[in-house]
Amino acid sequence: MSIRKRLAAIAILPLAVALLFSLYVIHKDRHLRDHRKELQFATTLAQDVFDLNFLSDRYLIYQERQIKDQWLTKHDAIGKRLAEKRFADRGNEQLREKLRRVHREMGYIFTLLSNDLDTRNEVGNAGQPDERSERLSGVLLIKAREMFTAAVHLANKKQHELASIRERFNFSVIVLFIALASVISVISALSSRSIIASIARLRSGTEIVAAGNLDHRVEPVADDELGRLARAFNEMTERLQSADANLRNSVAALRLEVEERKRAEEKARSLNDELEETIAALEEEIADHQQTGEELRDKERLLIIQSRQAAMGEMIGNIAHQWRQPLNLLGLIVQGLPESSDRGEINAEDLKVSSNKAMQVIFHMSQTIDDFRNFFRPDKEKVSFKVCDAVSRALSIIEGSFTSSMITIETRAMGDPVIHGYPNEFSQVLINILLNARDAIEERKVDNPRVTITIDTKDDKAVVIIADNAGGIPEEIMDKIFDPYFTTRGPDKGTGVGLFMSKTIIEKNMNGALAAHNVGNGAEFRIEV
Amino acid sequence: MPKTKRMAIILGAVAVIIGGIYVAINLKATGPVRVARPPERLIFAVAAVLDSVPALVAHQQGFFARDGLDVEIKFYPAGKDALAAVRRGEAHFATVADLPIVLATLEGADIQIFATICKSGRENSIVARKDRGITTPDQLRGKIVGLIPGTTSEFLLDEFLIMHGIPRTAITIVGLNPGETVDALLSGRVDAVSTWNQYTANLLKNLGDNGVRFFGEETYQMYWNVVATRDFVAEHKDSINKFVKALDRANNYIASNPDGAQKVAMEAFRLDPAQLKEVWNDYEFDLSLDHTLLMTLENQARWAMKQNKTTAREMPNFQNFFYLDALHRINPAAVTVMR
Repeated sequence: MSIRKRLAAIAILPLAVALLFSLYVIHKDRHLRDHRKELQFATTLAQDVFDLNFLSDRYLIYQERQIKDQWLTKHDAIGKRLAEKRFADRGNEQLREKLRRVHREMGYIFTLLSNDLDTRNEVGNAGQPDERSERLSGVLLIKAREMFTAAVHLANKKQHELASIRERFNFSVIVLFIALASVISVISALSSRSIIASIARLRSGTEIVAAGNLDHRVEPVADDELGRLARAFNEMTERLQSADANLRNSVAALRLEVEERKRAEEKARSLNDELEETIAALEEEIADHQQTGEELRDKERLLIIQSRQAAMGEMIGNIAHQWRQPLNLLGLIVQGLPESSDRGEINAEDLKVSSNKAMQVIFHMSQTIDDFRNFFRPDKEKVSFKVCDAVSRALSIIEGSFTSSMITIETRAMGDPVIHGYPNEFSQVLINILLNARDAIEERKVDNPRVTITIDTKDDKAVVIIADNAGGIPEEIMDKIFDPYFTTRGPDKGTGVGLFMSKTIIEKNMNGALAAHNVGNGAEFRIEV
Repeated sequence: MPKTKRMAIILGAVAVIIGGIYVAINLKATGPVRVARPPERLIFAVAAVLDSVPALVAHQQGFFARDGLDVEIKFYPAGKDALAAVRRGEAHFATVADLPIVLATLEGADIQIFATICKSGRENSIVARKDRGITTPDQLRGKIVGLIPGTTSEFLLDEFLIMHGIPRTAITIVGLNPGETVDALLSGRVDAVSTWNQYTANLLKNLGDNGVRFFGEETYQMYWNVVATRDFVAEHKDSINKFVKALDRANNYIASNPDGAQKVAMEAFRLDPAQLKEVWNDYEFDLSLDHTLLMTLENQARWAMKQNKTTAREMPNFQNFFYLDALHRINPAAVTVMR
């Protein structure tokens, strides 16, 4: 039982005892009340019998009718009283039966006696009792005494019983009280002892555990709150023990980790040293690479220079081609002026006209120079430009050489796409491809030479396709044509950097694509930006 | 003080209180310590009638021996014979009815009654033969009636005649011994007999429908007593006390175990169990010393003197023939004799 219930029981126990006492007292009081009524009955009966005996004596002395009537009334009352009453106790009931018997006998004797006396009085023999009357009188007195004795005996018996019951009641109350008080005391003592023992054991256990002995367990002495507390304490100790073990393991693990970390640090330090050495080596390597890069850049620069020089040569050639006709025209104008002067045909108006023509020619030639200069000026930054414009500018530069070579250039603009990039460099790419086509056509002496430029837009990209009918690129060199310094012409005609630079400009500088393949009877270069 | 120690003291105190109460109760119950003494040998003259059953039970159940009395029972046919044995010094105690005591005391016997062990209004009755024309008490007139002289049988018949207005001279009285009453009536030597209960049962059984029985219980109740000589009583009060105590136990035994008591009676008197059961309730086994006994003794003494059953002409003071102390010691309420 739990301590709470035990304490509640101990608290309720006196109440229960008091209730028990009350019930017992009520029960006994009812019992006593019944006995008191019986005692009252017996006492009253004894008094009635005494009165009847008194009347018997008076009647025997005076033999008067009114006394006889009083006697019979009293006798009748006693008879009724005896008939109504019943006793539970066998002894008392026997006494009642005896009283009834004697009462009946008294009535019988009194009747006989009174009849005798009445008869005698009637015949005039009053005062001379006969033997029968005398004997009846004696018996009546005996019966009266017997009845009185029985009634008194009954009353005394009831009184004795009542006293005995009271005595037993008092005694039983005392015994019951002591017994129940003892039971309460014993229960209280045992409960207290059990609780104190549990507390002592628990305290001892906690002290042992507190001293560091986590293997100790408190033995629960009862299945109560302290028992549960002991079990909880044991569980706590177990958890503590487990936590302690975990802590120890963690400490060990931490120590291992520290050692590992130390080793790792040493290793890292070693690696760092190695890394530093590697970095140093790398730095040296980078320096070497930088040097190599410089060299490469120098080579590239050289390539560009070579390319520009080639372009320059081309440009000069083109300028020369462009200038050839104006120079002839200008020569004719200048040549005509002295002749006209000689013939006297010259006047101011003619001079002015000739001068204006010469100035127009000169202006055209100057314009040509500006165009070439602008074309070869490298772009500083990306700008949006129309592909058709770039194609026109490229054609304006090279159309002279194509015309002289009798090569037809056909331009097909399917649209006018705009791209973001470097327009001059884009035009240079076109020039490189067109010049390569011209060179191939001239070299292979193609009939009806033709170059077709197609401008289109595909998937939001500008597409420029340059196709010729020069017989195409041999397949064995197809994958080498974009390599630097690769050329099929001799060193006097090609540098081998044109297509390399073109691919670099389109793919690296403008994030586009430049590809070549053979189509029909010629090669086709496809630019997508 | 530690709580456990304090609790121990409280519990100890409670234990002492309970122990004290227990000892006090037991001391009260056990009374003084008994001292072993050699048993006192006493002769008890017992009349062989059912009224004497308490004496037999006390002996058979060892109630006498329990109090250190070595009692020997000697049976006699009638109480007057048992009393005579005491008077002759052959016995120390006797069971005897009221009338023999009266007659003995009128003759100068110095005896004392110290207990009535039984009362019965039906111990004495009159059994008559119907074939002799007796079906009512009045028809006893002119008939021969047997009786046991000097016993209650004689007194009952006389009382019966008077109460029924029959003159003594109207009948012929024949004196018989107790045992003769049965044969006398069955043989027709007499027309009726005034006899004791244990014989009437036999008579009625044998007479069958021819028998008729008349009681005188309304006017006469017989007291069956235990007596001893005054000198013996005076010299052996302790024995008397023990004797009365044993008889009281016997009466308690009879009240609580009537079957056991009847078994004792059957073995002692060789009675038929059915007959015994039939008459058992006619007896009131109760230890007493009633004043009505004294009055009865006085009435019988007057009768004896009037009927010349004695030479004495002066009524004795029967108070002097009672020894009340022994019974009064164990049951004061049982003693109602005026002092």
